Amino acid sequence: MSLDRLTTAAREAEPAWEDDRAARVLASAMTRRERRIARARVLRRAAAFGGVVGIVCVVLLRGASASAPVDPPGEPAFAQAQLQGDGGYARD
Amino acid sequence: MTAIVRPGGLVVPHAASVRDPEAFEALYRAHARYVAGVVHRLLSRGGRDGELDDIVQETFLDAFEGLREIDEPRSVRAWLVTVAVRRTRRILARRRRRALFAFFAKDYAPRASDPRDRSPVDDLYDALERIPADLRIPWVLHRVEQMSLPETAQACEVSLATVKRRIAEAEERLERRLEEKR
Repeated sequence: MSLDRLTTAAREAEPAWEDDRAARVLASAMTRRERRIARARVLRRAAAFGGVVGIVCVVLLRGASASAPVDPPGEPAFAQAQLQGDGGYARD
Repeated sequence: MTAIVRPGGLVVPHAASVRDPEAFEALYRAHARYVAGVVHRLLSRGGRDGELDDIVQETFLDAFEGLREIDEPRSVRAWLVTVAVRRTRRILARRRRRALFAFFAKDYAPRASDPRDRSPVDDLYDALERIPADLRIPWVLHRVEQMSLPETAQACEVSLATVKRRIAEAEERLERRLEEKR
């Protein structure tokens, strides 16, 4: 049989796509679809929660770095050098 | 109203109802048989172990999520075929890997069918199974499904020139294989 005739025969041969098979595939697809939607919802909420936590962390870190540094009390370097009599070395 | 039903059985879920189960069902009922037919021929006799059912199911799940991007209702069917082709290609690649493994394991036996049950179309499917999926898919879409060349190129996600070349090469190989059988 020629390729053209085989092609036509293949086109005319319909798959066994009965109603109960179609319904079974649909039911399974619906279940999976619900599951996908639920998973997407959970992921979306997790991403939103993660984003909020991230923003709070950034704000807290910025607040911490903006506060005045707590330096140990002591003499400035120049005054200390004068006190130790280093001949003006520190002034230069 | 959950879905827009157009003349010719084209169903497009309304943009606001993409999460509606009724819209999903309407889309499925309108196009499932057509998609199953295309996949049946792409897989050669519908494949094995529920491959056809899996691909149809996955196609509708993927397509339903992507349908929001489609404005033109006419392109719904083309979009479904594109998704189905993508899925089919994966199945064919997996099948090839398994066949290779089975060959090395000396456990591979081709499907033997009773000669009395064979139809002439089986010769075509046998020949199709022996050519690479990249050649076989465009050939089936164009020659068997009678899709135009631009539609075939779109479904296969390749250029028009590539699809023409692949169809011509598939045609040549199929002719040769069928000639050997005679």
